[in-house]
Amino acid sequence: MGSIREGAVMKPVDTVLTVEGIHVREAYIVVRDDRWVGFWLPNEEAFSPVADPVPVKLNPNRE
Amino acid sequence: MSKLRAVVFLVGTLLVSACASGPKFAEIKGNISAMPDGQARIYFYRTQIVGAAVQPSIILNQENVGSCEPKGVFYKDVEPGKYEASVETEVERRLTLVLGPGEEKYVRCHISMGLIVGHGNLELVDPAEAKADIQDLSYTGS
Repeated sequence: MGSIREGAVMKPVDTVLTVEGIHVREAYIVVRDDRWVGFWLPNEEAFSPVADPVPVKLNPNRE
Repeated sequence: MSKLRAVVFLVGTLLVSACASGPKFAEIKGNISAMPDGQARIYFYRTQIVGAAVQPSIILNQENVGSCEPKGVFYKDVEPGKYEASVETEVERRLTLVLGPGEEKYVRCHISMGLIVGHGNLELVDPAEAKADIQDLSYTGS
């Protein structure tokens, strides 16, 4: 749905994704070079990296 | 044994009376007004009866929009944008979300164990799961 310095921001389709600490925040995933590198928090407009980027295979029909 | 029956009956009566009243969502969903053009809709609901006495208010961007009633569901039409929903008992729990035009999102409230009072919690739920969840709940109005 867009891109940030850390990668492409992918909004989940027909589902929701949240990250939970003390509070719960809606999140989108950020992908760079076929690796999931972190979360984009749309409300906070902030990027939160994952400790170890994970390889992902994207479905081009649903990007 | 009769005392045990009386206690079970009393507890059952208290649980039922603490639940939301109103028509089942499945019965009235055809009469629910369409979302106004350009707006978004958030459904709030609670399936859980446990902790029925704890019914915290649901605050959406500092506005009290309803309460977390057991077996109850309601919705709020809002302008697209950023939102923070919260419930507070002993502690405050917040959920942040973003809504686009025409988008519907579903927030489930549940009560977890607390030190003195149960804690309210909010979670964003997959639409398919939420739509199934709310069918049997009482519509408490928007």
